[in-house]
Amino acid sequence: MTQTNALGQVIGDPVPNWTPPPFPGRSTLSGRYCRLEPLDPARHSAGLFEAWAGDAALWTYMPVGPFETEAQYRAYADQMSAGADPQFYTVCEIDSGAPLGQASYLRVAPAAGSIEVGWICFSPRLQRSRIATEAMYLMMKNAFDLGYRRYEWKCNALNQASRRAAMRLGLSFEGVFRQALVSKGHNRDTAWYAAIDAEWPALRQAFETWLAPENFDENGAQRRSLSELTEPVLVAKG
Amino acid sequence: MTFAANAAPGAPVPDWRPPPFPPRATIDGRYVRLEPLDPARHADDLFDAFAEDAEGRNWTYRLQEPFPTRTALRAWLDAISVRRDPQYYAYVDKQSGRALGNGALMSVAPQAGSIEVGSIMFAPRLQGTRAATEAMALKMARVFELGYRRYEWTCDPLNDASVRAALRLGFRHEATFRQAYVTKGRNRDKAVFSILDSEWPALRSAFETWLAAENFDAGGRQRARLSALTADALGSDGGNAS
Repeated sequence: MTQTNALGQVIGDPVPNWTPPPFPGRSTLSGRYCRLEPLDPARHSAGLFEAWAGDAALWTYMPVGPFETEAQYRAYADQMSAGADPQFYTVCEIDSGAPLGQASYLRVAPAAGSIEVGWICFSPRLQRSRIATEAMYLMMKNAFDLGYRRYEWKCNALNQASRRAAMRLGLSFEGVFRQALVSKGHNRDTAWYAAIDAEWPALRQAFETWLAPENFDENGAQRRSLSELTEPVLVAKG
Repeated sequence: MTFAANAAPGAPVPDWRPPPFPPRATIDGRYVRLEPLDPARHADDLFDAFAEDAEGRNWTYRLQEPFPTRTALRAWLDAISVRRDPQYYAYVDKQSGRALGNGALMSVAPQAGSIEVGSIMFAPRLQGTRAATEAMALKMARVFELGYRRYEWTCDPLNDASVRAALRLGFRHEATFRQAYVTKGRNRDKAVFSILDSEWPALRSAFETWLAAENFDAGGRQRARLSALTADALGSDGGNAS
């Protein structure tokens, strides 16, 4: 939406009473199926290393990994949990408390009202589970509840699984940066996705519908897909 | 193409070595000289040149408001000129010897091989001149000669002059970020454009052709348009959907 100023120039709409949201607190986000605990290397490293073990492909599109030993991962986790940004969470199964994956906020820009979710590494057991989807829902909900206006996702443009995941979660395609960087000796183009605050109420409804127990039959198979529920919100796909 | 486990996909970048951070050095052209911003030398020129934009039209899409006094502009220039990134230059018109604009190399990411040109402010008398175009060509040349692989331009997509300038210079539109910021109490989206190292040789020729004396008639009017030359350089698809 736009307006025209006194000079006849097209300008953006006012954002009334804009106050930058707070930086996300380092606190646990709890849902029905999982709990996102701020990464605590001492408590989570062993479990995460075990959950990821034997699946090197998880790390293909990541700038780091795979880690050959728990100590290597622990050193990395210590480093990544030392600063405020990125802010990592460990995805823990609600009943067992078992760490099954990680995700992070990054490029947290309160003044811009923009925040990114990334560094997502879900163990095979987590992938395509309700837990994984709920983890993404909890992070998005927390960001919009705090007052962020823009929730970003970026990935290697060749990572089709990540691109599909972004759109399934209701994040609209915004474009591809060519030659964004060199990763592990190879060119990397970066694909960008985002949801904005105005889209959040509809997305929240989609997640709540999908995550509800009644959306799954007695075998745990979904009745409606999340993509079907979020698709009407997408302004662009790619 | 298939990859061994953990091999990164994407085309190999053989012998990749991050380029150096751009040196703080003058870049000399035919019509314009890019001098590392020195407020003591450039502030008065810039204030006078910017003052010709009495309505403040050039500041609408900037983060800053027009600077009402020399002191205020000087204070801002003092603040920005000491930063390493953005690295500011004054655009000095060689005919008059006066600084008529400024701009920066920014978001310098040697490891990624990526760098952005931005915060460009052309005073009215610099806009639409050969000096202005040459300033952009010189900066582009510097970046690719240093070894960067990606040269970025970002702007408010509502800033039509900036969007058109990017396309004319050979940048391709890649993405528009919705609600990227809030500036001056208003929503601001962000349009992103880029030029790649592989596109630079053809674009360099386009700039050389356009800037050559013989491209201008006796009245100083261009014979070939730069937008046509850069579109040709980038190939028939043009790549620009915007």
